[in-house]
Amino acid sequence: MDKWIRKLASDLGAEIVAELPNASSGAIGAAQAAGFYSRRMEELRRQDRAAQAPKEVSAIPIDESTYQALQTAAETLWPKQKVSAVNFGQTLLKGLAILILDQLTERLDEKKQAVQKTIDVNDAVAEAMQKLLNGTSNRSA
Amino acid sequence: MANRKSKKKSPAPFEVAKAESSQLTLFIPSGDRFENPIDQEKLERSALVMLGTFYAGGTALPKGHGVWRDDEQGGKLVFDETILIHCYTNRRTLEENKARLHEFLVTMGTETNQGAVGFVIDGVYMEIRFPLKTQERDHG
Repeated sequence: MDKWIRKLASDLGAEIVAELPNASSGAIGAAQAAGFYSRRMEELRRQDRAAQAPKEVSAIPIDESTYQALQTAAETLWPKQKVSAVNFGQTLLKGLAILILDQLTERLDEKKQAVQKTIDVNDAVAEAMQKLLNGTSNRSA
Repeated sequence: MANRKSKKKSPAPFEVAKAESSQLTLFIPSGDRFENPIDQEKLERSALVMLGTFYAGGTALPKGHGVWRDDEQGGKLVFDETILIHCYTNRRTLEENKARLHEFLVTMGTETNQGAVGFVIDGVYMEIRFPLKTQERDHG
């Protein structure tokens, strides 16, 4: 595929999907091109359907006392906004998930730093050892 | 003095430089992105008018009735009645009129609610995508 085609596709705001070398050769080429087009459109329709599918709703069972606690907390914190227990619980879960992920990332960073320190120490030891060995071999020579 | 025949070869009748020739193929869909029927004849006519005006001509092939089996959807038979329009042109014309082609393709895509419009230039299939609008995605 030459540069000109790529440039033209870009100028047209189009994406290159495939090469159909026989597309220009008569009725058979036309049939192949039409078949390719039809399959491609069906693939895109499938993607559309997937995007339209209802999002998964997670049902999380909670006991009555937790529900009451959430409701009381929501009413106390935002008396005018009418925040429901479910919305408050949803927001809490989201916040908690972010916090946990944040802490996990921090821990990973710490581990990374520790590993890097070990590598640095190993490198330093290896370098010192090399110098020592060089010094010994020079003296014996 | 004897007349020497010129060694310069004259072009054969109807000969065209192959490097100059290009082929553009447009696909005219029969339905929108949700398979609802659309006015395909009107689109075909608009495409021919555009090609005739800016690319000196085009040929719409008679509508072929095709079918293929979609194994990813449990062997569902997908029927298609796409119209193909061929246009023999050259790179210079394509380059000079790319804005017209772009305008036609985008208008066809948006006005008939397509997921994408496909076309082939010199054996390369390309497409302009039209993402689902938020409302369509959220409410179907």
